[in-house]
Amino acid sequence: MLKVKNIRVGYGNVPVIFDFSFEVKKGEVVAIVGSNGAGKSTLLKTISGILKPTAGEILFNGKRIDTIPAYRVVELGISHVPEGRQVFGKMSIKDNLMLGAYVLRSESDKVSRLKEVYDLFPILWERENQKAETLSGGEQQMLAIARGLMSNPKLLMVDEMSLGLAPFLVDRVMDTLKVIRDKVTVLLVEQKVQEALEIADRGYVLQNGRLVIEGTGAELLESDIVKKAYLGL
Amino acid sequence: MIIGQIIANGILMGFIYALVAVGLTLTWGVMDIINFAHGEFLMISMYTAFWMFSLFALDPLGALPVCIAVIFVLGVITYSGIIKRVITAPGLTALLATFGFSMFLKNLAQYLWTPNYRYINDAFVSGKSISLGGIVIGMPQIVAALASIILTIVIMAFMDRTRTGKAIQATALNKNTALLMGINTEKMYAITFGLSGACVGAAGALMATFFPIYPASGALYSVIAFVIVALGGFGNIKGALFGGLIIGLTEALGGFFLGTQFKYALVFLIYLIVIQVRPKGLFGW
Repeated sequence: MLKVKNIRVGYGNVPVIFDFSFEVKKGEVVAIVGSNGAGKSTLLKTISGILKPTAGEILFNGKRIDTIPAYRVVELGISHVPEGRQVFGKMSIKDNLMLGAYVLRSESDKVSRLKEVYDLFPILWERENQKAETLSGGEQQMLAIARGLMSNPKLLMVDEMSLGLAPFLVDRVMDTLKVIRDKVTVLLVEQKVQEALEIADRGYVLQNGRLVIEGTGAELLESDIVKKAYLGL
Repeated sequence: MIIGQIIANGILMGFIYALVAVGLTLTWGVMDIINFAHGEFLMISMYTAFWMFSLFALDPLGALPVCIAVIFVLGVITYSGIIKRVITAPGLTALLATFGFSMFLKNLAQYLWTPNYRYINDAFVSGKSISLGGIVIGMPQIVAALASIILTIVIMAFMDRTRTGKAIQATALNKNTALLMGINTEKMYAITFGLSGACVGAAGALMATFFPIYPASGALYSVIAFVIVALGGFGNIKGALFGGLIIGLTEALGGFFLGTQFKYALVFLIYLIVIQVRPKGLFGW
């Protein structure tokens, strides 16, 4: 579904990702893990078109997407839930969700998406007219994920969804992914290595912009590199 | 009775000021750009109304849609030709760019149409007035104020109710996240600049019936609009509406009590006090 081939990305003259390749197949949950500054968020921003790679190419269902503007990438079926939630705080929860469905043309599609998302996150339905900034961190994360699902994406990319959340909330938000994974392919980027690899079918470990190791979630959890560097075992 | 007359004049002028200020506050609210050529947009709209009237005998009221369209397009061109190139540069760059553009437009108008004052004397509304309990109000002012109110409400409803309006708001709040929603943020910026122009384009057509038209006729209004925007809170449309009324009244009452030569001194005194005491404006967040 998504193929990233030998991409190189940087900010100005500072390279962040060196020659990285990976792929996501339909129906999978793939996790890209690594510490702060490894280039994980940069990677997602490059896939969604906010940043452009200086080398390499990105294919989505066989079509090159690294040359088209970011807003067109959404139309093709990639939804990016950004780091730090980035909900539109001054707008209502419903407005946030409807903006998530901006690329859908038909009103009836939007309404049925809204209903589906409210079934998944009843708390959002209860508070649909409240401003998004009044929600707690965990609820805002749910809103961000729900907003990402509104465009009916084929691939949902979630950046650092555990960031700034209390441990029990991390579990709750991760649980929602277990429900979503039946409907949509998921690409996860996480610092919480253990949690992410437990839920993922496959994973890639990124260190200083380079691939260190890849494998199934279980394999990686057992690997020495992951145990030593990230799990403190 | 004379006080009533003055208050009425102030309120009517206030609504027109508000429309000019709504245009100015839009671009600031959405993209942090203060367009110093805003007053020159007003001037070009007044000339558009003038030429429509003298060449095609089209009344300024009939020319209203034409003026709105012309300045909308001018706004979009200004965005894609000038603003787009400087928007990511430090703030001063965009300020100087629009300031330079205002000089260009003013001098272009002088070159093309001479510095002479021109008037639209026999428009449909000219010379008519209505009297309400001893207060006499000129028809040009009433029509201009009513149209300004309607257009301000239309702009507010557009921003709050429509898909494009919501997308513009999202772009204003967080440009990158708006991109991730599939919003073409460049297009939203262009539309915003167009709408800003449309406001001042409408104001120009309305004011052309009772103000002289000359190359510098917009200069004063862009400064007054700036004061109103500061008063209402930068980027706040409702604030611009109330700010317009306050400044309209200040000007009318100040002119009466202190003498007309001091009316703008009072307006700018208010500005100085507001930016000292409440820099985010009376209606700012």
